[in-house]
Amino acid sequence: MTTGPAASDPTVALPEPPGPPLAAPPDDLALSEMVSRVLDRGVVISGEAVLGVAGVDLVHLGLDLVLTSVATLEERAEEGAGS
Amino acid sequence: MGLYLYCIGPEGHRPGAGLRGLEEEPVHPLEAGGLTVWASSLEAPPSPSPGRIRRHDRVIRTATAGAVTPLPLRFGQWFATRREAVESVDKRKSDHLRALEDVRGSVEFGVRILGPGRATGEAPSGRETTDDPEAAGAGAGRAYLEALARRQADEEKRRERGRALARELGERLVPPVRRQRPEAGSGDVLAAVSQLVARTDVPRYRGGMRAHRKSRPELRFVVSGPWPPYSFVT
Repeated sequence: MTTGPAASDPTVALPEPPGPPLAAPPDDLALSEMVSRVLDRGVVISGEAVLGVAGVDLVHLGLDLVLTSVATLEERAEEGAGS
Repeated sequence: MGLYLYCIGPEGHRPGAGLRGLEEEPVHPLEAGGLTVWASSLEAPPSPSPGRIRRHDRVIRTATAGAVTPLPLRFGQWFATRREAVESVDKRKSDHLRALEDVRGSVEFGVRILGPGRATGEAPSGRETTDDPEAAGAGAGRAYLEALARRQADEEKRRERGRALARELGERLVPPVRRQRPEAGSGDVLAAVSQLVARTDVPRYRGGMRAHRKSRPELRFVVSGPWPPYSFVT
């Protein structure tokens, strides 16, 4: 669990520490990871049914996803780790 | 015209001019109970497609590019009217403020842990083709049940191994990992975790991951990120 002051005053803007910008990862490496995050995680506030990926056959969804092989994912991850 | 929402941030956190969201609609700020939501007009709830998924993520990354860490919304948060959108956000304002504090200044990394690579023609890990319960035949009842029990035991061993590997990874990388969310592995993936890291600790995290990889040469680690903190906002 994280520690820190409670956000008791809703009108106070939260100061942020500096850090590197959030660049997008290589497309083919990240697509499957992106799909699982964008469709299955994040805050839900809408009352409408939200499509998730858990237990759903992506082929039947008609999504044209290119899932890279594990070996390719590894190679790209190694390249990315060196940057 | 309805409203499609991307992320929730503190009051005053506004998109820059020219940012486009789904269907190339301009992204604009929506003030809701002391929070600012990034939104764009959309006639109807969108169906997921690779292009829309990428665009949704791109808007959130743009929102996270500055000094603020907003809460990513899941794909598909659409409202028929502005009023409904504002009411829905305001209804859980205290939860959103708490979540904003939890992920402040942080990003997410995804890690998949895999076992050694397979030789060509070798069966997928966790499934022995000579011990397939379905191959035992309908008449070989006892053999079938024994094969099923062995397969289930093997699966449980894999799952336990995956849990142990995830625990070890989390322990080795704390700090800089602030929180970790494990997931069940499947297929060749023994374990998968999402890890929350302060942005200022990203170089330290990468160094720690490289060191952990070297200490575990029999395993393969596939790391993706940094991501907006999708896995840590609910």
